Amino acid sequence: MAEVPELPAEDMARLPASIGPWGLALRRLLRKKLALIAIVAIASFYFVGLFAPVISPKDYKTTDLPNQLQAPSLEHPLGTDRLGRDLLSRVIWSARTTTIVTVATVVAGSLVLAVGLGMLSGYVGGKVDTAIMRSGEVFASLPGLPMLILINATMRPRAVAGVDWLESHISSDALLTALREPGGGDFVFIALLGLLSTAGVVGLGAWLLAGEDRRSGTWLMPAMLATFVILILWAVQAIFATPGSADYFLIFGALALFSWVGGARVIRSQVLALRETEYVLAARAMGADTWRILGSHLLPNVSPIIIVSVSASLGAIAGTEIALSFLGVGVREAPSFGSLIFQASNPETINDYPHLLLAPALVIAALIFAFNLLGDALNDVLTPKAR
Amino acid sequence: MQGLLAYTIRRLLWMPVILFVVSFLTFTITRFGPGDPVTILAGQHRDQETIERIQRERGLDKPFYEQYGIYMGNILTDWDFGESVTINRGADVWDLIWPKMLVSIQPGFIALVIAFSVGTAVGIFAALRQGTWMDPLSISSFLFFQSIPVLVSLPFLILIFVIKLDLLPIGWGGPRIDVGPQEIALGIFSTHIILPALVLSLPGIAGVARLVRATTLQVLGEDYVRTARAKGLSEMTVITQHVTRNALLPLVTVIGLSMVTLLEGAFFTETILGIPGIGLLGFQAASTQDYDVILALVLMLATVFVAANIVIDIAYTFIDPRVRYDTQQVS
Repeated sequence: MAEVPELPAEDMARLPASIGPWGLALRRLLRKKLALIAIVAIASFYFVGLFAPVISPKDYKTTDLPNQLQAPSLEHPLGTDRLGRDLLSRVIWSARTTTIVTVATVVAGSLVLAVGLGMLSGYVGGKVDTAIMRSGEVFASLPGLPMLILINATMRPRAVAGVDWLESHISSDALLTALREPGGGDFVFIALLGLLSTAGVVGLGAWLLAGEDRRSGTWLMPAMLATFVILILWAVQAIFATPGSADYFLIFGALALFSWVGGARVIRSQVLALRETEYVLAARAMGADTWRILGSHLLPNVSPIIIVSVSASLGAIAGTEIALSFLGVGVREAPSFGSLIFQASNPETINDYPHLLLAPALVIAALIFAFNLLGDALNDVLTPKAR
Repeated sequence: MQGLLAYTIRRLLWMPVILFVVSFLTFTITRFGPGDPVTILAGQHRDQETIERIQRERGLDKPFYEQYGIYMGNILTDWDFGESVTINRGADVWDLIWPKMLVSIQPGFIALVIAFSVGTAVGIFAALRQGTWMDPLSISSFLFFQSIPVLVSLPFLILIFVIKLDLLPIGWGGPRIDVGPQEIALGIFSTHIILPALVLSLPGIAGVARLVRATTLQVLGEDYVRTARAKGLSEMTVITQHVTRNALLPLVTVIGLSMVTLLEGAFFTETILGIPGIGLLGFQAASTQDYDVILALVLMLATVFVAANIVIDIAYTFIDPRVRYDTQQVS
């Protein structure tokens, strides 16, 4: 066999650096101007949402009756509402509501339920597949919005009680109390959770650092579970800092329950096709176990689809939260775009104080439009057939 | 035809199973909610005796699965969905709902017609102009309308057309007819229909347009279109006779989905505009905890949804024989 001649070093340097499929996709995405604008808009929205307590100029619930229904001024850049509350601060805190609900729903519904159940269903097949897909069909045939209204209207007292229990058991205050009185049952619970999440971080880190060739799928499942636990704990901590946390749990729980079916179906069909490919056969022949095949061979190949389906669902998730809050069964204690629009949308208010409607309506329309544009662009970039 | 028949029967048999699960889930949720009907009915007389009497009368002292059996039994034998507690105390839920459905269907139907006709026109237009600036512009301008939720766009339209220009009325009206339990207005014969129908149709246009654009592009590349052009037929004939006919087939599949979107949109058009349809009824029932009404509404919407999807699945296998019905069951 003739040896392949090595290129001289200076020629090697002139060759374009090799880019992976993700680099290619990113490059293609950045070439689309509309997608760039959408990304900037969404990123700044999430920034405002995350840092709402720092950014908002005034407290969102301080009422100031002498200054009610003011037009925009230097003191109140977007004016004040019927109770004299600063509208700009309320819009900023509404962005926080939307941020929490969309992120939590995507993590719980799209990433955990849809990806987990879709891959399991496609790869394991048989009775597991039938059970998952049949229950998916039931969820898909329930009318979404009326069911969400029903769940949010009826389950609220229970959710409030549940969150109160959690708050007294796993918040940082509870941890301090438990530390002061050692031997309490709560302490064991917290210590277990802490150990679990530390193990998860270490596991995930080890999996990432192990390198492509030695990366074993065995690590993946515990690592994914632990990451999920950490994310939930993070969400819990973030939410406890916000009033009306029970509402958030209820909304993203119910939304996640109804939003996983579509994603799981797409992922399942992709896994079904990939399962029969030769590289999976080769991996199995070399003795790779199920978790390794799922984690190292199938997950990277379905992740473009996951990203496309997540980005396509973001607009709908944000819209549903606003719809529920508009109808009075969504977020009640914190401001939400839905309740802002509801308060501004009766005919007399629109006529006399259109700015009350304009500000929240424009922000939310722009956000959902940006979500849709980004979803479209990602679909073009990541789905080879659509190119 | 053997396979098609078996497929049809299998789909139809699946329907009661889904409806059973749906009804059981909904029933369970309502029975565990706050503000039980007993407290509302007892009103001022909150003594133990009255509460027990009401519980006995309504069978609420039994375990909830038994209550579910009684509830379903009443529906299946007497078409009895229980009675309203707060909205119209003592009224039969079915008599309360069905006239309101007739009201809600009117703007929904007009919106469906607008969305499909405008969407088809825009889609074909965009496909024929592929590669020019008009293609992305026409699609993305409707994508913008799709991004605006009904509850955002409607107040703006009210501001412009009702308050500033004073062109359209708000609320509901038109020739009234008596349908038995209630009198309803036929807004379809008056200007009251314009605002809700317009608002409901706007979000749907983009979806239809994109689907039509994609299928038209596909059909334009087919051999029989080239043949038709080679025969020397005019471009008009080729488009109307050969292209559109085949490009519009897949639209059948989205009708079911659009119907559901329209019914959900009714919650907002009816609450904002004050149209006495099922959307407003559902809103009132949810906020006053009239559970029998919500339960009946959800059940009915689920039935419509499931039935529409099954009918469309079956119809589609008739319309397009290329769809392999035996593989559909798997996906």
